[in-house]
Amino acid sequence: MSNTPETEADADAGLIRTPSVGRIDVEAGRETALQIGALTTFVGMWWALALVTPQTLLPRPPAVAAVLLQDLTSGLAFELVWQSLRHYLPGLLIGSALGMAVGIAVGWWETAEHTIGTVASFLRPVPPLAWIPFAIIWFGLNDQGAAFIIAIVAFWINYYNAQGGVAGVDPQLIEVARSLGTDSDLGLIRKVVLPSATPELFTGFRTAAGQAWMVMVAAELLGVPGIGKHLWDAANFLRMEVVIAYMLVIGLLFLLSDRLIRAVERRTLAWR
Amino acid sequence: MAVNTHSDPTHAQIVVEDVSKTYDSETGPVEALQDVSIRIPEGAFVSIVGPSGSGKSTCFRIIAGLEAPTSGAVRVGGAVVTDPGPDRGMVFQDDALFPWRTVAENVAYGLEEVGPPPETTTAEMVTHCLDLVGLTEKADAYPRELSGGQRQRVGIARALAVDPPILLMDEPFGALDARTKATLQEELLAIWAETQKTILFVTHDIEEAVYLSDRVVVFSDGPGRVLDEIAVPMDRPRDRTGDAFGETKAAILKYFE
Repeated sequence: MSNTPETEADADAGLIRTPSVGRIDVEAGRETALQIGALTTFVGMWWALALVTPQTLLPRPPAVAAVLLQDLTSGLAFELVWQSLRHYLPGLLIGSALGMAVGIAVGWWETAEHTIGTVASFLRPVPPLAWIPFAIIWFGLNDQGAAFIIAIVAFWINYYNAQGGVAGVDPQLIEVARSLGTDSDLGLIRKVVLPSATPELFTGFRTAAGQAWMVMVAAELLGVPGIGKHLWDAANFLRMEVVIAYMLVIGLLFLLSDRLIRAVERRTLAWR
Repeated sequence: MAVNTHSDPTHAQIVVEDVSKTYDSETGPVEALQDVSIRIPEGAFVSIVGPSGSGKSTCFRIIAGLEAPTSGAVRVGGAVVTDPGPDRGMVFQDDALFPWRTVAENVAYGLEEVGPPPETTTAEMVTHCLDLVGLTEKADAYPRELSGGQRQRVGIARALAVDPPILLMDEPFGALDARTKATLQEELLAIWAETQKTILFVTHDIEEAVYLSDRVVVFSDGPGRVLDEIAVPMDRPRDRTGDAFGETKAAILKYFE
């Protein structure tokens, strides 16, 4: 070989680097192409179908885009999202916190399991929307009422995930912690159970955040100001392009919240 | 149990007095231990060997305070054991590290709970213990990034960090390959020589027991009873291929045939 060691090393590095990066690029590119292709096909089919359907039944994509553009520039879209968030966020956060706390207690203490757990198993089958009459007479058709319904949905999802998370804690970790001087229940929950159950707590919270968007729209259809009410009002005037526009907005909000929680989850659970 | 955490000779003796343990099962009561009495003097290295299901792990768990005996009692430094505590460091077969904590944070766990020994800091103690097991460079790694042998080392360092007078080890090297196992045995003997701990070591590996211990307690098939206690009077390091070693092994092995 006439090559100097440096050029050999360079050549090796090049040989190793180029194909592997290239392969990742090709794979990522293929994935993106498929995604764009699928979305384009979907919009294309919608458009084609809309061309042969009355506009009042199925509006065409440009009409929907026009609504979005107008509401984004006028700020109406942001105003509606804000109205929705005013009950979405408190409902999700309060319901999740309570659900996690009660779920952990029921998972940890046998007495809590036999008492609270028993009551919970009776209340659990009640569909969250069946609480709407109570939401209305206790709070009214306002943010508090909608937050109450959202909190009930969030409570149950977090409750069961937290309970499962506690049940899944490796008993040996508890034993080790006790042998190293953690002797109180609260100490064990704080130092072993919570970190150990964090993946399940995240799963619960993320699922609840998704479900909460669904039930939020349902609550708003009854008249609580927000995206759902706007969507329903538009439907009453057969403005279906507005309905579709805000269906897309809700979908986007769902995706954004899911991505955000996943990102926090990945950072928090770096040890996995 | 309110016990002094840090080394104190009067806490280093383990006495198992007529301990029996019966479990309730669906098919009726199962006797796991029958009138077991063992005395482990301060600073000794004693192994319990027995076939699986011989109750040696039950005995370990009762000494650790993880289970209560049906009758009899375990005394550590004169006080009856009722709970696990920082006077008895524990090392398990499957390392039982906290996966969300780095190596250094695992070792620091007990120090956070009971505080560092007098005249040291948590950081010094962590460094010292990682140094003892040769894992200083892995301080910031998470358990999943370590090999089986490294994880066991962290488990040992974590148990040593609160400076317990006693180390209880339940098949700590049982899941390791032969070479790693031999290395860790050497390291454990070195740590024992340096720290003067009282060590109770449960294993099903007779050679391991003979290589490490001052005394080997032989358990019978369930219900667990003490069949014999065999002193191993050889100097260390021991020659695994020597006659004396082979004779001691044979003396234990005859109980398993």
